[in-house]
Amino acid sequence: MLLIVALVVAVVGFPASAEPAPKWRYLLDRAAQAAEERAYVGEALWVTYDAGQPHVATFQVQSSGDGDISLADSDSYAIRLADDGGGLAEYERGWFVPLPAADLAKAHKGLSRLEEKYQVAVTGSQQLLDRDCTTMEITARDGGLVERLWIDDASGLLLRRETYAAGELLRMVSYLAFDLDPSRSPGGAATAQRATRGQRPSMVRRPQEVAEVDSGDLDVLRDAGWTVPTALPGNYRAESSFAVSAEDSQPLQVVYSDGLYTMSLFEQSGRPDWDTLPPGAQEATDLGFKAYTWPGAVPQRMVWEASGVTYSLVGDAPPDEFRAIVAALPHPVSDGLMDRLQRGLGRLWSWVSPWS
Amino acid sequence: MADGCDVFEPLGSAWVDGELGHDERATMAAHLQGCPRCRSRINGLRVTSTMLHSLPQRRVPTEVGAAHSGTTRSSRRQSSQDRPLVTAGASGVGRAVTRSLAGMAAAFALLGVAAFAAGAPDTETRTVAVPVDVYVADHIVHSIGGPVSTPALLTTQP
Repeated sequence: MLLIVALVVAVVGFPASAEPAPKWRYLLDRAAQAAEERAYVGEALWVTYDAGQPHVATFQVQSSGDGDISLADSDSYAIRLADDGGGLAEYERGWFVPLPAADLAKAHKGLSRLEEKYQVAVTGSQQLLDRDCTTMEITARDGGLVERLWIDDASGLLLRRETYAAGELLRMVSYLAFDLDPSRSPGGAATAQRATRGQRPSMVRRPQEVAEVDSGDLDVLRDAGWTVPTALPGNYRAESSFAVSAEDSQPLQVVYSDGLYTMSLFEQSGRPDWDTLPPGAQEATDLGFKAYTWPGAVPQRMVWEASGVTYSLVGDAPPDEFRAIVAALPHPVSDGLMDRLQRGLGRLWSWVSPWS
Repeated sequence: MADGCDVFEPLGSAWVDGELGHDERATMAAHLQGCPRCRSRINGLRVTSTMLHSLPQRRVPTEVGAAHSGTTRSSRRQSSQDRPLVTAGASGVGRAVTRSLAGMAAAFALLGVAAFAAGAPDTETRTVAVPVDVYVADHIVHSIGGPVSTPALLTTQP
């Protein structure tokens, strides 16, 4: 009897569970894990194309190997991410904002979602920075090439990433210098010093508390009039929500992902004070309503207002998907004569009606 | 009286005015040569006719014309006011309806103006600061560690 059971298990049960994971999945899993666990320092180059115009920037990346990751722009910003929290510092303006703990352990969550919308294939090997790398390509199931990746064979780290849209290179991030031993790099040590202990005594600490919002609370918020879609165009699904307690408002953040790209929607009750936008904002001219964007910035970001609520969309989705998401969210409607008369009659009635 | 005076006497004025035909004129001329009484009467008619034609022509004064026209319109109004009572009652109802419609239209117009004024866009909604750079950092915190983890850039002006 035991022999029969063993044979059945061997024939029926084992083949499915013993089927080896595809190589691309192993490589991506390893890359995400290496980004947390490997100590390294490097200088990364960003090139983004906006309307055919390239925008170029470099910044320092430092990973301590125990979960701390810091990114520092040479001129102004630095961010430190860790399991137990991090911070954002703006050196030029002299402020520091504490950030919540980064969910660095969720690397494996997105791989199943990734397969729903994209196909991944290992395409070969190349040398990058005198290191052997495996190259991969990610294509949309209903479209063309979207990503080309170079993964370091020795460390498992992602060394170069090219993003495409409609066959055109949209952005590229690649290491110009890379070292798996941060102690040998004085620049890396300085970056680590500034990013992780970057609160200068003169810096103003901005208060911010973040609390995760569960599905029950989201239903309450929906009933109260907040816009909380469960999905966005392009198969982006809501993964998590957070209530951010800032200085003078309490934005709601909803995080969406399609398995490859991530979008965050921030909502604030109130009209935007356009003067508070960071430098570089330009008014978008082709949306049909007032909105501001930052050409060439990564991730993309856009701010607009609808019905007394300020919406800020941040993410790395391709431009066509980004705009489709903006179009699907509330936006200002033209205020015609009939709209104004209807609103005015309602107000007049509310003033004279004893039941109002 | 010569023979034929009773025949030619009614033609005296026509003779003076030159309105007789050629034959009648020849016959009457032959009679006047032989009848002094008819010649005297024709002379009298000729003087009268000359006096009448020598009088100045007079036009009707404009005041008289205007007064006449006013009298005519007044007479017409008087005439319409003298219509039967049934007609006068229908006109009163029409005026009442017209006045009511005008009043309603005025009330609607007033309500429309008030609604337009009261329906002005709400400018009292508070304004809020939009910390986009902090949002980007929050976004990175919740998106890093994904399947394709790439450090994100924070600067707004690459």
